[in-house]
Amino acid sequence: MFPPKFGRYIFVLIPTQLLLFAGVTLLIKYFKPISEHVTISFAVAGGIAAMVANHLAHSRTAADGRLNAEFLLYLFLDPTNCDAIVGDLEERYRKILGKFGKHRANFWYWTQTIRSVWPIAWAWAKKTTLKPLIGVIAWAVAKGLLDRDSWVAAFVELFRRIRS
Amino acid sequence: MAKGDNLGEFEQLILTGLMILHENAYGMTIHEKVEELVERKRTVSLGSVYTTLDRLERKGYVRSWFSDPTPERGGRAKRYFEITGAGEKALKKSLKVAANMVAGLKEIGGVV
Repeated sequence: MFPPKFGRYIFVLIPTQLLLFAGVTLLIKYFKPISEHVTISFAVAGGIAAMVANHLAHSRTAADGRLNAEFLLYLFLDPTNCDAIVGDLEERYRKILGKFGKHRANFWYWTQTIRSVWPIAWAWAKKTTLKPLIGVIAWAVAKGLLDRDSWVAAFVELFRRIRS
Repeated sequence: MAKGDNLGEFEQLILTGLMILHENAYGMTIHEKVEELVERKRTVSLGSVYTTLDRLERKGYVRSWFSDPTPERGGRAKRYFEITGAGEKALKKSLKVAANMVAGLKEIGGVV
């Protein structure tokens, strides 16, 4: 129903932090007469717990980031080829993760994906749009040479048709 | 030699990588090998490696096949590549031209 990241924020992170906030507020309200030190300790513990929840949520979104990268590649490739590329990225990602840690591995994964999308998208565009485009231009030139006074007239006509 | 037979620099790099890797040539190892060949002085993307390999396959210089999925790749298959006879021939032609250039420069005491 929701994208994974959005669902995680709505159903996990926000309720966790709200619960922590409510818990700390109740503790401060009811335990203040007993000892101020205790309530401060609870507030600190609540803060730490919120930080841990935040960290966990962010460590999970790193995997989602990789999913988004995968989606980018799936836009321009057929599933089999895309699986091969994503598999290669995944394999090298794990290698870098083991050697240099998560931040460097994530950085490498994203830079590779962004750099990879351009040549793949260009190849896709050439395959799907360039040939019909060349066909249309060739048709216009041919029509201009055969039917019109000049091929320029054909281009003008084509331009008019596109504009109208 | 027809114009379509000429290999670009990146195509030469990929075909050289395929010849060196031999049986273990798939996307990631080819990418690593090409990075090694350019001495990491140039950034090489996996996408450009794949688009070049596709082009070489269309020219008949390379053939490919898919392996079974493996767990270390998240259950995804590897696409293996192999250089064909025509590919080897084209690479040899290109290297011969490069060797002639080197010899020519050496004769005049050039940069090489």
